[in-house]
Amino acid sequence: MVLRNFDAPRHRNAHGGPVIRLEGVRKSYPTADGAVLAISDATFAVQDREFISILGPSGCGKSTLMMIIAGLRPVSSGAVFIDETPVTAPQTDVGIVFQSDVLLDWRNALDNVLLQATIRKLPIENYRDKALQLLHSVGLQGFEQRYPYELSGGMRQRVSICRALVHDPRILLMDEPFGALDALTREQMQEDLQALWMSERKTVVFITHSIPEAVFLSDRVVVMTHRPGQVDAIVPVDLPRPRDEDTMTSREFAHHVREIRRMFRLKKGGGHD
Amino acid sequence: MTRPTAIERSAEQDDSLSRTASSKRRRGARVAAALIPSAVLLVLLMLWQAAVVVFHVPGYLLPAPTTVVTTLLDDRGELLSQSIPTLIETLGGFALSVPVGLGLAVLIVASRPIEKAIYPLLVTSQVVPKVAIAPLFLVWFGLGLLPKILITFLIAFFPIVIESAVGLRSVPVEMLDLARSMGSSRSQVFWRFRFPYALPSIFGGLKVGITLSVIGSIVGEFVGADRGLGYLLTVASGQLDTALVFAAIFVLVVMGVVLYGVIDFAERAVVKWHPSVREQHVSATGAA
Repeated sequence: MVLRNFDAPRHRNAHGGPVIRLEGVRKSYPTADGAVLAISDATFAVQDREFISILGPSGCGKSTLMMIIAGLRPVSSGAVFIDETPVTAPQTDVGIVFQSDVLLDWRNALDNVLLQATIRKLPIENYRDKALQLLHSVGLQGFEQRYPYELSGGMRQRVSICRALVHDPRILLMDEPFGALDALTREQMQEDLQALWMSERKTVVFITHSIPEAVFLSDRVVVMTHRPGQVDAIVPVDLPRPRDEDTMTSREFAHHVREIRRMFRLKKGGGHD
Repeated sequence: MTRPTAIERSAEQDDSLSRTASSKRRRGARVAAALIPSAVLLVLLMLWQAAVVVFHVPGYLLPAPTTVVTTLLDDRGELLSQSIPTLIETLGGFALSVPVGLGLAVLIVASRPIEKAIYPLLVTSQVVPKVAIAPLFLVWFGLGLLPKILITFLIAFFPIVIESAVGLRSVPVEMLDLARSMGSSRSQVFWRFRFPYALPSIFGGLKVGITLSVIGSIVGEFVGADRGLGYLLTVASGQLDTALVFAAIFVLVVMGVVLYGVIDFAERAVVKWHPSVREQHVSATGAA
């Protein structure tokens, strides 16, 4: 994979500030037994072209947080800003990868990627090359005309990542995209995603509950604690890129993983400290 | 990164291995799928024939299969000409129930208040026995095709509404989130996401609808008609011409199966991606 445009910013940040900023985001759901608080306080910022992971146990509201950033769920209080503009409606300059691949069964792989262009009424022909290039870059050459039912789980999620990138959005939001995949496929996908990110250079918010996955992929890891979710710590990961298997066995990697794991341990025995 | 990963390559091999293994199994299944029902049918017909001959069953009680076949051949002109009005009523009622059924389903899914307003009416329309209101239709619309078409419509549209509404509503939340994040308009959400997603359900409704349409037209003719297979059935049974009754029923069955087959064929052409169709496809090619 050629690392092109590594330094040339394609999206210039006019104000030089963060791309995404969360300010005291709070989210509660009405249920039969009264309101349930999912997120009590989330405040952090994501810089331009930064890869940030939101890490936390199931039920800490991290997926909800991603939906809030995308403008697909309203906040109960607090605010989200994209380029310092408050988010009040679904954001369209984003690409979203969901936990399940959400491919349309009636479209083949290429047409699923081109769905972005179809819906946005962009000239399909102009995006065909980009779509093919993306599919090839994730190892799907020869599978462009295959329908989702003819693809494996890993391949399907690759197609959905291509769909999230083909319209060249500023922000890529990923909600545990590799959660349903087996461990081997998952590692391969992590490496492929890193390569893709290094070439496309998006601002990425990646939701995960895997500490090694967060450390491997991210510039910074936002650690969230159990429900109601709140940001517990933000851990910078300064490992050199591109990261590979050797990174995963390095002392620095192990150090970061241990550091984050300790945070969860401490929280569990929360009453004592 | 223009190489297939090791995982994909092994996945491909797995796939081709399982394909050759399952193709043998499938061929066996196809032969069985074609042979077993035919054999069962043949045995039943032979038992029927034997029972009639051995026990000297009179023809007006139960004609032998061979007598039914003879009647089918002798009266083929009459049977054919009586089939035409029945076919028109069936298709007319069905043609009316498809747009109305789909339209109502869209309204139900689009708005809660409309759903609340329509649903009780829909259910009531189904609870009312069609045979009971058929005479009313006779009074209002006369003896022609129209009252039969309306009764057929009344019977056939309900499953189309219900199945379509279920399909349109069962679109996953994530898919709708995806649509919104792409900035989809309301019509795009419907035509690009909801409608194709609901197609398998809609076809399910159409299949039930077409079989009920055949029943609807016969119900309409029973109540008052001067032509059609339903009319022929009443006349023949009145004259104790039981062989002709059987022959007319046979023609009706053929009509129903052929109409169902047309919908089934359309479904297989339109929703090739759906698991139910993919499995069906295997057994259907086996039967051919």
